[in-house]
Amino acid sequence: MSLLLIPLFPLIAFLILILAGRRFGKAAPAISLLALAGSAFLSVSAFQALRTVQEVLRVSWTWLSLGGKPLTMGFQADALSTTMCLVVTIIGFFIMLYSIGYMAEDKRFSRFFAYLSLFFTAILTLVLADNFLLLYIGWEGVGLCSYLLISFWFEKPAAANAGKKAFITTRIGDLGLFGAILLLALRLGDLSFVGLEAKAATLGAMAPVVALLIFWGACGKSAQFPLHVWLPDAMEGPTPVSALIHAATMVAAGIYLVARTLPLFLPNPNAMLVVAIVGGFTSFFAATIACTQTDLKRILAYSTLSQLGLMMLALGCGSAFAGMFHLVTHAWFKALLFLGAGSVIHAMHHQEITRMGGLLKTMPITATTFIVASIAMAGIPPLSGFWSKEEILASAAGFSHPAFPGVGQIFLWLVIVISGMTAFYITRAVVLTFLGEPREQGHHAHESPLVMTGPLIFLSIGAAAVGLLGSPWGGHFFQRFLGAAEEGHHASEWIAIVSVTVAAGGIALAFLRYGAGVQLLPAGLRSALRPVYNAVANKYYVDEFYDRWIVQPLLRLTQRAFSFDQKVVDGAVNQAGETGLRLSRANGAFDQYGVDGAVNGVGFTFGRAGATLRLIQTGLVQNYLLIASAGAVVLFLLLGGVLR
Amino acid sequence: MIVPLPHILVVSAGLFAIGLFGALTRRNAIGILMSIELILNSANLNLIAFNRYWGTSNGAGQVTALLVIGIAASGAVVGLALILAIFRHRQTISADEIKLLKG
Amino acid sequence: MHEFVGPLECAAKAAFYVVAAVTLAGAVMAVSARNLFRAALGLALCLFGVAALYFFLEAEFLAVTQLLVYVGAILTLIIFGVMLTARIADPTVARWNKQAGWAGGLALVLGLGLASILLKTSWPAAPSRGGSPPVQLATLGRTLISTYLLPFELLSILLLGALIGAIVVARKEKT
Repeated sequence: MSLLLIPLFPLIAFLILILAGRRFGKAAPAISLLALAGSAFLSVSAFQALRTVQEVLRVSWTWLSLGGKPLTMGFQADALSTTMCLVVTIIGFFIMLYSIGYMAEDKRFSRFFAYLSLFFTAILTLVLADNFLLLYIGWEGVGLCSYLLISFWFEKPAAANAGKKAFITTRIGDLGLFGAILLLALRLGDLSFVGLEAKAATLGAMAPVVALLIFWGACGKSAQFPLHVWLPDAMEGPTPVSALIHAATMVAAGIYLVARTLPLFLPNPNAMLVVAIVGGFTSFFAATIACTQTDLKRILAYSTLSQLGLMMLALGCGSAFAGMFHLVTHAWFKALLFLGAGSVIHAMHHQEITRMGGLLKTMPITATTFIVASIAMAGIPPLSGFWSKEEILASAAGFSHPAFPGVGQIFLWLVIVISGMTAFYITRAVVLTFLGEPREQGHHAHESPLVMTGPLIFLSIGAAAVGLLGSPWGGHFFQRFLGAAEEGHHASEWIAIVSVTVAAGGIALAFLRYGAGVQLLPAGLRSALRPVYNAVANKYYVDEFYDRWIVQPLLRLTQRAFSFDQKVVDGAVNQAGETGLRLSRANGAFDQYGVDGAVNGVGFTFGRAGATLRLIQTGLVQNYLLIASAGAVVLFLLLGGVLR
Repeated sequence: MIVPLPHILVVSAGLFAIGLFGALTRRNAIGILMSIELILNSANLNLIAFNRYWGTSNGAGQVTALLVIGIAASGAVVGLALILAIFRHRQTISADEIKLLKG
Repeated sequence: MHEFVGPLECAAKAAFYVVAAVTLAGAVMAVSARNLFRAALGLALCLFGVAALYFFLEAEFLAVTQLLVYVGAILTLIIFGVMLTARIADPTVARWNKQAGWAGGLALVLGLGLASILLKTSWPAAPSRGGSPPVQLATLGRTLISTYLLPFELLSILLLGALIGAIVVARKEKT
């Protein structure tokens, strides 16, 4: 029963705030925080229950009866769900705390927290669902909140468009998920996850289809290529939103989904390969773009894409654990990175790293926590990123496909290269933002208030330490909890050494280039590669491609439909009206000319007849006599029998 | 009798027709008067003829004819008096120039 | 007239037809003469002819009365009228008015129609006179006084009225 309350608390907070938020004024966040704290507490107790008693908490009820078969809905708190709950509620709590400071001057202060609460309701429903239907409800709810929060400052056209773009793009992905649900309902008649695990084999040839449809849905939410385009634009939203939704939780929903349904993928090496390739490609692609961006939040957005790609890659290589582990560590350090960026933006009132610099002196807490997160992301031991990255490398190394036995090695090296790039671009961001001399009014920047720096500090602790839970020093607690056990491939030591070296190399290169100003490439090569650089800096023109080939034709189609509606449909209606009008005019004319004409005509005829007859009255008596005589003669002759 | 009845009646009819023609066509008012006398005479002739052929004991036909002559005389008198009066007014007695009754 | 027999009868018949023809000719002249005086003379001829026909029809008194009254008085009156009013012999003035055609047609139809009717009907046979006398003058007088008294008196009133009326209408106005 307590499971129900986990998503319910934030829902109540949402309802209160959306209806009466204004009245609370500055106290509004207290309600959301209280609700979320309640959810966090309950999540912890569920976690405890699971850890100690090994009992999976469930609650379910019959939703409706479909032809005799009862359709149940319910929540479950197994390892996967509980992990997600903890991540969401704890990190979410600190992000919410931070928002109090960040959104302090906003005129829709209470509404922000209302939307945040609604988001938490949706995501908690999503992760606690025990069947596809309830998960889908949460899925859609999360999409809605993402839209509401991205376009929170909807007066900015860029924000409104970004919200639209996010919603539409993820919608396209959602079609896949919906299709999969339909297929499952038709084929299995059972939408629960336990049912899926049990009956996965009965799907036969449909299994890869369903799996890939589910994956398509995950691509939408987790912004994998080609549905990645919404995530960078979503940075138009307030920074806490970016931290919560687009770093820690919502985008992770796709990863969670694939992890949840992995039993469906595992028997199909081709499906797995697709997942891995898409993940790997997205990761590499996004990492290259991140190296060229100058907007702090954009760098982080592409970084998120890249990290999500790594998670997908891990899942594709068969390790749900690696994916989830990295999800957890990523949630901590990416949230921290975003909140730090938010702190910087709050102080500088802009987001361009080329115009920043030297903020280490003026914003020490922000800078330090940011640097901690960067090191974690770069994968330097013993911080968290290292441990989860190792698991990914191990899963890649252990992956093999019947047709391409060596593909695992390719993925392995790909991940190493990507880690190098990750280290490079995040160090670049750090150097340009915090180190060196202030480029503009950096002198005037000041540290953010405690309500913002407090969460930063706490998150940095998590970013540093949480990885230890999955390390040998933590007794591989995480692996055991998620039931991964020793899967037989520990990353061999030399892989670890190589990856750390590459990461360090990336950091060094960044320092050289951006800290010391050393040009890394000879001038000739630099100018030769300039077109390549431009292409990357412009995100490989993917958005432009979509716009030209998809958006514009659709817009033209809608234009045509609109003009059809206007001309033909409205035209028909207007014609009907016109016809009615013409008929009535004709009727009027008929009445005027026809009827009145007839009446007048009668009078006229009589007049004419009279005028004609008047001619008889000549005044000449002899004429009268003639006519009278004629009549008399006729009479005579008739009577006399001459004329019959 | 000398001639059969129809013959006399035909003569009378002829007189009548000629008189009618004159009454309808004559422009001069006195001419019209003369034509009317012809008509009256034809009626008289009829009366006398029938009286001779079918005869009544009291000679009713001839008496009637006598009365008709008297009427004709008075008619002619009044008519001429009127014609004189009109002539004094309009200096014309042409029937088709006196159109006071024109509608 | 007494009954004629034999050749006298033929002669009498011939005389009748001649007189009838003359009468009609006179009538035609009365109707069609441009010169009104000639028209009056034509009328005179016609009236004479009618009187003669009366003689043929054994109505001697009427014949004489016709002559006295019609020819003697009415015709004279008409000639007075003609003298006093008409432009007697103006050749440009038309004799007949514009409806002459129609009237002529009508008269023709009437005449011929009547003639055919009269000739075709079977008249009841004239009673044989034998020796019965024609109507006597005394009889006429008696009928006039007895059976036709009213019409007789009315006629006298009519004549009186006509006399007075004519005087009133025709006298010169006092200006």
